[in-house]
Amino acid sequence: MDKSIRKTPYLFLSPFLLLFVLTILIPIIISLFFSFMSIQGDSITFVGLANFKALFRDPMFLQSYLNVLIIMVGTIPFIILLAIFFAVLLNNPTIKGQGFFKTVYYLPTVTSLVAVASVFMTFYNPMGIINSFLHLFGAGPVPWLSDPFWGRIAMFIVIIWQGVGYYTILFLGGLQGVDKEIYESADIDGASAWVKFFHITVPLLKPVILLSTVLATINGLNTFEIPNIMYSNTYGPGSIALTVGVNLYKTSFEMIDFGKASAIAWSMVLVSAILSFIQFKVGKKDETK
Amino acid sequence: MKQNKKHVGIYICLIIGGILFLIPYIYMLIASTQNNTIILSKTIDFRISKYFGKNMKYLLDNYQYFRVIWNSIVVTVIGTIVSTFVTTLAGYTLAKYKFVGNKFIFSMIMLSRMIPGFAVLIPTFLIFSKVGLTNSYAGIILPLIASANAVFIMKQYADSFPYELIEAARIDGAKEGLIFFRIVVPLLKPNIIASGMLIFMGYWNSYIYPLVMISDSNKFVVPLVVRNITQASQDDLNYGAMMAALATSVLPILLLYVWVQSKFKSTEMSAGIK
Amino acid sequence: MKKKGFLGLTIAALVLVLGGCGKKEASDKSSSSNFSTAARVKNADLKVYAPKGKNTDWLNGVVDRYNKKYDTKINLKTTDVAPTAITQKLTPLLVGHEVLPDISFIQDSDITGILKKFPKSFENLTSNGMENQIGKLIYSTKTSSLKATAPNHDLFGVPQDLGMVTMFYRHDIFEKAGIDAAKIKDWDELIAAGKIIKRKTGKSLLALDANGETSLVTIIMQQQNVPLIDKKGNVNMTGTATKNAIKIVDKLKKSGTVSYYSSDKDRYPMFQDSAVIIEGTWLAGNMTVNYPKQSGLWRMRTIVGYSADDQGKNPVNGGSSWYVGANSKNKTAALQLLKFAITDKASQADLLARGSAAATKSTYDSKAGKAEYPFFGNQKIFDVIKQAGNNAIVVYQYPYASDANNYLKMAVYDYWKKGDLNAQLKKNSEQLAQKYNVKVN
Repeated sequence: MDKSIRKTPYLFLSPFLLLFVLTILIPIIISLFFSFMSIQGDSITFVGLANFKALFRDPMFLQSYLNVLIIMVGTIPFIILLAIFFAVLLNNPTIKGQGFFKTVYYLPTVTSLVAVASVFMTFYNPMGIINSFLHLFGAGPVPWLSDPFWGRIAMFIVIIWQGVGYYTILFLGGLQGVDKEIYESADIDGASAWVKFFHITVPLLKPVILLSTVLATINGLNTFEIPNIMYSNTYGPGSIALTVGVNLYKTSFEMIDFGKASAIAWSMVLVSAILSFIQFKVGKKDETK
Repeated sequence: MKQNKKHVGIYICLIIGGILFLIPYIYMLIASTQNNTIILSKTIDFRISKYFGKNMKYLLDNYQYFRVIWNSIVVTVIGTIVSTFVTTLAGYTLAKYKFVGNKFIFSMIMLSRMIPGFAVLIPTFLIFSKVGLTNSYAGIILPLIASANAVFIMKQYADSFPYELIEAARIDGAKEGLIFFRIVVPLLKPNIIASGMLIFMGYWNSYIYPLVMISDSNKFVVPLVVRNITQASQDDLNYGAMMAALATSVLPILLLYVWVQSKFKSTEMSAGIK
Repeated sequence: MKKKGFLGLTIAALVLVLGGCGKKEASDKSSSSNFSTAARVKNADLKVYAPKGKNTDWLNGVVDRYNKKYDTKINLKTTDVAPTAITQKLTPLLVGHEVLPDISFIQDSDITGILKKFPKSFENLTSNGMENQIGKLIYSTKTSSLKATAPNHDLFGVPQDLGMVTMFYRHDIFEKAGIDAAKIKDWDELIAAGKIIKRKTGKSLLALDANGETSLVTIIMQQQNVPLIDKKGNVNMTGTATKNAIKIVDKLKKSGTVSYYSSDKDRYPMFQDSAVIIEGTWLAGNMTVNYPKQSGLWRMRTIVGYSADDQGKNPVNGGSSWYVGANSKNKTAALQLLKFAITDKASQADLLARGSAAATKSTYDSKAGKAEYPFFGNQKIFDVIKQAGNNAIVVYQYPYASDANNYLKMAVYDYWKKGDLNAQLKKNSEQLAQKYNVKVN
């Protein structure tokens, strides 16, 4: 019996591991290999760090990271704040229809990004309903898709709309783990809602806030579908739709330069690794406090 | 009294939030019955119009829409079943067995979660192309099966599974496979369904792999058609038809999702994604 | 034991992948030379990548005529691929050495990049003898432009359209404003007319790209015989021609007669709502199909002169050709069909009837070339196109052509927002030069 149990875990894991190795591990190694190669059609030659050096001279590459950074700064704080706001509201057990609201808020998370981007693209049309709405108040028309500033705002809105629900549920999970007695004793002390929020809720949610920030940052780094669909596969006004993902896709499939594209991919891996490392370190520090 | 007033405020906030989250879906439904002239008019027109049939005809004539829906269904159903099974088994094994390499494998899986999907896209495509899997359902299904996220979620669920039940079954002489299928699966059923639903939505919405793997329009899936409406052909963008495609591909699946979700009430998504 | 088997599998997979990297395509059995001697293929389903619309409709018509004439059973299986997405769609196939579609419709600006990386991907029409048979039929500006940047300066594509730029104008609007559009000599007169039109009819003269107008800028550059990319592949972005062109666009903007569009998909609807469209002749066919309600309202003429005393060259824009995959299953059938398409008088005439400007010379002298076009108020529009074709500039297609346009767009946009034209042109052209290692003039 012992012997068979010893073999079982490997047997159980083998289908997953096989696919994991084939579709994740090997590709990632090949991708690293490619990033040091120049690939012109069928000829592959080793070029050392040339691809990476070329990237740092390429203004589009730097612009793509800048764009992604702007997207993160413009969306993550709002996503986290709104998510905490809704989570705190939903955490009230006397609220009716909690399940309904949770489901509704979560819908954007499980909706195709292509669909989300297409609908918002329609909203943002110069003659679309947002401008029609603004027209009612004599405002606008806002050049949602043609002005770099408004174009960024337009993207922020979509990303925030799409992201809030997921983090709301995440925070709700965090809040439900909080001991109710803490709030009760705070109530007895006559603490106001704001005091309770800032002195009890926020500190207790700190690990979840940290996790959410890192997840949202990695998500932001991967932004592709929304700018790609909203700006019809172009770089958008003032190149605002040029995210790292868009750059990678275009470098691979429009410029047919897989060496450089792999170098871009690995720059993403490195940035993600650094972000995760920071989360890990900060998380550790918090625990030891 | 004070409590009630506070509740009114909470409800108002929640309802405003709910409306903001629902508007795009409602709009999909309404606009799918409109044409470009109505959608792009200076006024907000939320009335149902009569162009749904015409929009659907555009989709059928230009994009083999029923075929595309069928492709999406095949890919999603097969992918979901296989991936859910494989990841559940893996998550359970990592949670409940002690063996050499457990920690290592788990940390590899965790590490892979932070690798951007883009990094593996090109090599995966090349491998699949070498073995002739591009332009096939398998080309879209396989890359998403080994979902590190799903394994992680299932491991979290399985961690809280009472070990005593497994021990008791072993003492009764049950085989390991039997334990998994007869004891673990039934007890974790709501959790498996929760994880399976996320996998399901992942397949239904998957875009980048089909975009790269599929060049034959007979094998297109829904997101590719939506993209093509926004970008392909020399026609002007037919917003009504695009909305018809969204209304018929996004809404039914979301309703299915909500229905499954409500049927298995014990399913707590938050436990999984924590 | 399980573990060992698993390891073996992994290694096998690795070997398979890495070892396969340099594999040559297996299906490229037949050499390219047997096109001229091959017997007519009787049965074939040809796989086609093209944007669905007038070009595919036309090709279907060609197939019908072909099947009737040779008693064959050729079928087309068309995948709708946007003109701008064709490289994205072909790249996976090229890289994976997969079988290419039998026929692909590729923009002239895109093919250079593909052929540079994969010189053997598409049938070489020079070496298989087809150029000898069809080359003389085609306008030489077209073939020399295609060959200038192709591997070995060979011909690879069967040109579909001439890609001349013309001026479309709304006859009814001009009439209401009391202006004879045919008599407008240069841009200043056009702008003056635009002001009257705006005042009297409320219509805009032209629609510009809100994200930085480049179409008109490159068109006016070409009028001065300066293409954005020269024969050697260097980019003309900081020279006087560019600045002159941008100044004319500035005048248009300042006159308050223009409207703006923000995405490619809104471009043509906006165009159709203006009094004047300056675009490739291909638009003639598209507007006929997409805007039947405007039938009879439009006219065509050659573009207004660069200046009152210098008419300038006729600009060239767009243009696409048909390519046959070198490893495709039915390439002989595809080549035979395309040869028929360009030599068959009825097929070329049909191309004109659909509002496309055929690339073959004789077609314009045929009856079809004299046809009166109802959408254009029974105007003989092909006289205009022929006139344009005789005075056309030769342009050069380099793989970074579309990206050069992006940088020009950014420069124009930056200039519109921040001013200082010289600095913006310099900044963006330097970035382009750095990226592609090319010179900027």
